[in-house]
This record gives sequence, structure tokens and C-alpha cells, in this order.
Amino acid sequence: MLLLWGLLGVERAASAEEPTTPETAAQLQALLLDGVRAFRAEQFDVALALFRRVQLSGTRADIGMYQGMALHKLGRHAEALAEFRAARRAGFSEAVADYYDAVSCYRLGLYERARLGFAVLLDSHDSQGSPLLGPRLREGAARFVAAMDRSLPKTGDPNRPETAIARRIELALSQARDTQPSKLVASCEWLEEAALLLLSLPIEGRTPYLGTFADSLGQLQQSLSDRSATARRAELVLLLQRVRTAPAR
Amino acid sequence: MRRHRYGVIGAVLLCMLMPRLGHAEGEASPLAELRAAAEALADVEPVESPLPPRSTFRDSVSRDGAVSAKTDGTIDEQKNKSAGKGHRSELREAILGAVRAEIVREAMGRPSSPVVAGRRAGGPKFGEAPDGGKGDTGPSGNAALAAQQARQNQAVSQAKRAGKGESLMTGKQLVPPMKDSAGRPQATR
Repeated sequence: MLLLWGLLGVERAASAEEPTTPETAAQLQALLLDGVRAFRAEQFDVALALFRRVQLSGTRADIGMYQGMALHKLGRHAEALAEFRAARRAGFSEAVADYYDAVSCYRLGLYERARLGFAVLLDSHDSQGSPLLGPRLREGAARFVAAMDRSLPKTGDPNRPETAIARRIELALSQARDTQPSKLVASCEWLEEAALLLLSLPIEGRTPYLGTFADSLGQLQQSLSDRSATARRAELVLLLQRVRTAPAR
Repeated sequence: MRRHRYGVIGAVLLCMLMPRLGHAEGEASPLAELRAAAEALADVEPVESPLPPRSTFRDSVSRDGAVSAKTDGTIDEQKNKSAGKGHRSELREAILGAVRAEIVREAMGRPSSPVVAGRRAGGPKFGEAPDGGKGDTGPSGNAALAAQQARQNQAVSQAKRAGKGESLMTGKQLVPPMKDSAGRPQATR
């Protein structure tokens, strides 16, 4: 009986994400499929418009994944990252979306995040031991990693000061300070990059940057004033806590 | 009794899961389709291939009226047409300018091109300088004249190709036939 009630509970939770009437559900499903087909036909702006319509219905928690991929293909990488994050926040994970996420990071110059994203994808396997990515994407991920290793060695190149970790942290923090409305989403992403770079340092090594990091974070939190950004603000607070206390990666 | 209870539970579970199973098998799953499409279209090259900017393509199209006439876009076509009109008037001006310059030279009594000079009795042939290559117009003068002729020919042929030389296409002449110093009408090119 417990099993039965448990299954009923799962069923109810799943249906809570779906529209109330069957007509609406069918329409939304058709809309989503149309969007995917437009995506497949490389009409990414059309696909995005259709995904936005589904999003407005508020019934699909995984819509961020769809929107993220369309935004990525449109070259709107910072917005794509925000959408992928929204989908992850809702509990959805998809290897192909994670691949797109990592490529978006690479295109934006968030190399630490890109490196980490590709590494996770290349190292992870599903429950049956198969790689998460298909052969094509695995090859692509390996190419991106190789390109980053060439242009930005993990330990930095003494002959190229711009590759030093300190310079990269300064760059990320300076990018994160831009709180213009059009740059706000990208600034948050740069703050994440700065956090990741800081986490590669020992805690005492982060101290010189903590003040700037906290200032940038405060400014971004003030700029993220709308109610929909509540989750993002909370994530940024957690980020600061991690930078202050988490051990080096 | 216990067996009966398990039977009921099994039936309930089956009823609950059946619609979902049917749903999964009968309809295309957007996520599965997205996954396949996204994998096929994924960016696997670290270096982005630079595409030629669209404006360059439009410019190249609008430079050639014949190509612009083949385009089927609405906005682009209108743009090309308006650009074509501007280009047409430029060509017309160029032709008129060349003809005017010819008239002025003719009025000054100096043949400007071997073709015109050659049409006169006793004039030098095409490729020869009017003074037999001995004067100040010598070989360099020949080259200059040939170049001028080539430019004029090119301008006229461009106008024809673009369908813009209305006066030429309709047989009307841009200027009345010129007369040489002897008062005979000259053949127009």
C-alpha cells in the first residue's frame, strides 16, 4: 500500500507541472514540437519564439533547456547560460544541454567554467557505464579542451602574463562590475567565472580579491531587483559563501 | 485473500502506468527530438567559421542590376532596385560626361580617339597616334586614348547589361549626331 501511495504521489507531482485541461496540454505539446522542428530546421529565432510561448504558460519546468539551446544557436550565450541554469534549478539535467552550456561559456571567454563543464561531460558515464555524450560531441568537447590547453595553460604561461590566474581573476571581476541592464546577465556569469577562479586558490590567496568580489556581487544583487531574480540573488549569496569558505579545488 | 489483494494493487498500478506508457510510445517526445537535433547541430569547432557579412552580399547584388532583378526578397529587392536606380543615373551621367568631353574636344579641332580620327579621310588607323607616333601623343598618347575608349565602351556596355541605358536600348541617342569640322555628320559609336 505504501508503494501505491508513493506512486500516486509521484503521479500527482508530475501532473502538477502539466496544464489543467487536456486541450491545453495537447496544444502546448504541439507548440513545443513545432519549436523543436523549427530548431532542427535551423530556424532558431522561430524556435525561440515558440519556446517562449510555452514558457509563458508556466507549465514546463524544463523549458529553460529548450530556450537555452535556441539562444545558444542565436549567439546569445549569456542568456543561454541563464536559461540552462534555470532548468538545472528546476531539477532537469541533460548532457546535450550541458555541452551547449560549456560551449557558450567558451564563446563568452569564461574558460574556467568551460573547462570544468567539458571535463565533467568527458569523465561522466550513465548508469550503464556508457559515456554521457555521443561520439560527435565527445570529439567536439575534446577539441574545445585542447584549444583551451593551447591558448590558456592550466598553470599559466610565464611568458604570457594574461594567462596568469591573478590577471584572469581581475579580468573576470572587472567584467562582473558592468551593471548596465543589457550586460547584467553576462555580468552575473562573469562573477561565477571569478568565483571558480578564486576557488582554485587557497583560502588565504583569495583575500585580496574578496572585497571587490563582494562589492560586485552587491551591485549585481541591487540591479537584479525584479521578483523573478530571487533565486538568482540567493545563488549569488551562496557563491560568496563558497568563495569565502570552500577549500581549494 | 492475500493473492486477491496483490491482484488489485497490480491492476491499479497497471491502470496508472498505462496512459503514460501509451503517451510515451504513441507521440514524439519533444525532448528526444530536441536531443537528436541539438546533437546534430552542435558546435564542435573551437574556431568559429567567419561568415561573410550580409551587407557585403547585398552590396554585391545591388551593384549588378541583372542579379538584383533575379532576387525574390521583398525588402532586399526594393533596396536593390533603389540602389540600381542610383547606379543607373550615375552611369547616365558618366556617358553624358564622356560625350560632352568629346564634343568639346571636337570643337577644339583635336581628335580625341583613334576611332573618331580614323573615320576621317586620311586619318591614322586604330592603334596609331594621330601624328604617326612622333608627336607628344606618341605611344603614351595611344595608350591613353585606348584606355579612354575602353572606359567609354565599358560604361555603355554596363548600361546595356543593366538595362539602364534606356536611350540606347530604345534607339534614341543621348545627343544629336555630331558633325566634324567639315560639317559632315559623324557616325556615333
